Amino acid sequence: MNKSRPHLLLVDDEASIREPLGKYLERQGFRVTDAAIASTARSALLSYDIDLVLLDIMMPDEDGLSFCRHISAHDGPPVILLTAKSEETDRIIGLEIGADDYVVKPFSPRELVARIKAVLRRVTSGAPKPDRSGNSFNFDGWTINTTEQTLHDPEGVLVPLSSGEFRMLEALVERAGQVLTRDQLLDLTRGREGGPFDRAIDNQVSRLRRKIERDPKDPQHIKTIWGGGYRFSTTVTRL
Amino acid sequence: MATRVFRLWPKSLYGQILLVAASALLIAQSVNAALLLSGVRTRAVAETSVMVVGRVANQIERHSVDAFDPAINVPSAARERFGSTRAGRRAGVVAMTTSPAPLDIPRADYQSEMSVRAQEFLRQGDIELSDVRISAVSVNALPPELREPQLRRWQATRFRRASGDTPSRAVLFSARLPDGRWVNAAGLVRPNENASIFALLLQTFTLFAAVMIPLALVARRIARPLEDLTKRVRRVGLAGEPEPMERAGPDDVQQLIVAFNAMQARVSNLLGEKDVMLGAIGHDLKTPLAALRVRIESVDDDEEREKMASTIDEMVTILDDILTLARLGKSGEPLQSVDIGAMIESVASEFDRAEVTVSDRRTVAHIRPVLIRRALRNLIGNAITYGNRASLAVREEAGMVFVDIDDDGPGIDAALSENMFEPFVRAERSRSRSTGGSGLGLTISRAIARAHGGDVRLENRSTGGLRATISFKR
Repeated sequence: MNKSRPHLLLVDDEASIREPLGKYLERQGFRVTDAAIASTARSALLSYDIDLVLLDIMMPDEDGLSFCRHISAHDGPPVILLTAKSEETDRIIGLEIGADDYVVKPFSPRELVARIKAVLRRVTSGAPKPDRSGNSFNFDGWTINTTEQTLHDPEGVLVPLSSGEFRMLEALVERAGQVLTRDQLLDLTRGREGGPFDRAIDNQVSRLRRKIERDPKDPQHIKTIWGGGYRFSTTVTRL
Repeated sequence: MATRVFRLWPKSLYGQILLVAASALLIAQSVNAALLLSGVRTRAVAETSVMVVGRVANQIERHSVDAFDPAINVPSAARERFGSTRAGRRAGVVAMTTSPAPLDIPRADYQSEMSVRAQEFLRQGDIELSDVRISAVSVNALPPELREPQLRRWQATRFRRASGDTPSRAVLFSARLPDGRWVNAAGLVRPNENASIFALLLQTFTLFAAVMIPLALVARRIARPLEDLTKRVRRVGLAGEPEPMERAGPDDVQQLIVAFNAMQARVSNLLGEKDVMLGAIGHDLKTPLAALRVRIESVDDDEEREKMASTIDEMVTILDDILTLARLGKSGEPLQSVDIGAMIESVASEFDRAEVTVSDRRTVAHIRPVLIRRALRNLIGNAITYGNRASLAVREEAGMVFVDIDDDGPGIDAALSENMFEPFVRAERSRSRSTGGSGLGLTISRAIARAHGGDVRLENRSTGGLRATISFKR
C-alpha cells in the first residue's frame, strides 16, 4: 500500500464542503473520489483500491455511523469521521464502532491532512489499529475505561482525571508489574496536544496517588522504585 | 405581641382552614356550654325551691302556726325528727326559723317568678302566708342558724352521695305569717354540674370529631394537589420532559390542574421550538462555516488566512455555546456520582493559572459531569481572563456542593452583577470582543447550575477580587 498518491474516498452530502475539500486534498497530493451518499460510496469502495475513507456522520439515508460499522465489519480501509457534533457520546460511539480517528467540523484542512497522514503511516507500518472497543481494566475494585477515558472507584463514583493523569494511569495499568522509568513515562504520556502533560512526572504521580490511594503517603497501587521509576503493583484484570 | 399572634397563625391553607374551623367550634361550644350550665342551675334552683316550699307548707299544716316560736325554734326539732327518716333525706333537708323582721337579702337574688308561683301554690292550699320571697343565694350568705344545720346534715350524708361536692348555693324562702312574724327556710341546691360538664365534654368531642375529621379530609384533598402543583410550577421550563399532572381534589382544583397541564404543555412546546430552532440555526451555520474554513486554505497570505481562521473559530465557539444552551433542557447525559474534588482539579489542569485548594474530605455529587465541567470551565476562564488567576475550593453545606472560584481582578459593580448573567452581556461597556468568548459563558454556567438544583453567584471579596460561586445539589 506504499503508494505515492494515497486514494481517499470522501463521503459527505454537502457539496459545499465536498468540492473545496476534495480540491484541497488533491493539491496536497492525494487522489480523491467523492460520494454524496452511502450507496455511491459503497460502490466506490468496490471499484477502487481506497486507502482511507473520510466520512461525514450526519447524512441522509444511511448515516455515517452505520456505514462506518459496515466498513469496519468487512475489514475495509481506515476511517476518519467528520462530525458536526463535538459531544462526547458521538466521539466515543464513533471510536467504538471502529473509526480510526475523527475531526470536528469546521476543521482545519491542515489538521485533517496531518491526521490522514498519521493514520496512513500507522496502517502502512503495520502497527495494529489501537483497540478501542471498550478497553476496561479492573484493579482493587476500581474500573478504568480507556475508550471513554473514565475511572470509577469501587463504589461506582466517577473520579475525573486530567488527560495527563489519565494517560499516566493508563500507561501504568497496562504495564502493571513493570518498572517504568520517568523517561519511559514521559514518552508514554505525552499527548497529541502536548501542553500541560509535560509537567514533571513525579508531580503527576503524586496527584494521581491522592485520587486513587487510600493513604497517599503509603501508596499501595503506584509504588516508587528507588533509582528506577514507578511500578503499578496491584493486580490488574482486563474486563 | 403581633409576632406572637403571627407565629400561632398557620401559614398553609390546610392549617388555616382547620384553625378557623376549630376556633369557630370552640366559640360556639363555649356559648352553648354557658347556656346549658345556666339552664342546669336554674332548674336546680327551681327544684330546690319546690322542695323548700313543699316542706314549709307541710310544716305549717302539720304543726300549728303557733308552733313557730322564735325562742325555742320548734320547727328545728320537728325538722330533726322528720329529716332523719329516709323519706326526709330523699326529699332533701330544709332548715326553718322564724324572725320578727324579713331577712336582709339583696334585691338581685330574688327569683320573682318563683316567688309568685309559690305564693299561688300556698294560697291554693289555704296556707296563710303572704309576701313570699324566694332567693337564690350563696351558702355563705345564709344566716348561721339556717346554714350550720344544713351543712352538718350534708357532711353526715355526703359519703353516700355519688358526687361529693359541697353545695355552694342555697334557696332561701321568706314569707310573712298572719301574725306579722316571718318564717324563713333554706334548702341547699344540690350540685349537679359535674354530670352536665361530662355531657358537655362528650358533646363537644363528638361535635369536633364530626366536623373536624371530614373537614381535615376535604382540606387535605384541596391542599395536597396544590402542594404538588406548586412543586411542578417551580420546575416548569427546567430540565426534562414535563409529565402532565394527574387530576385530583375538588372540581375547582381539578380545573386548575387541567389549566396548568395545558400551560405546561405550551411552555414545553415553546421551549422545544426554541431549542429546535437554535439547534437548526447552529447546525445549518456550521456547515457553511466548515466550507468556508476549507476554502480559506487557498488564501496565500499566511497572516490573512490565520485571521480568517480565528474569526471562523470564534463564530464556532459562539454557535457551540448557543447549541449548549439550546440543548441544556434535554441533555442526554445521564446523572452519575462524581468526585467533585477530582473533577475541579482535572478542569483546572486545563488552565495555566488555575489552582485548587485541596480538601481532605471527599465530596461526591450526583451530576451530569460533562455539563458541570463546562460550567466550571467557563467560570475559571472568566476568572483568568478578567482576574488574572483562578483559585478554586470546594465546600459542602446542607446537601449542596459549592465551588468558589476566586480571582485577583477588579471585581464588578454590585449593581451589575445580576445583569452579567444575561446573554451577550459583558463587563466591558463596549461589548468588545478583545477578551474573546461568546458572552454566553455565565448564562450557560447558571443554566447548568440551575438544572442541577443550584445557582451561580458573583460577589466581590472583601480582600479584593471577585468570587464566583457555583452550587449544585449533591
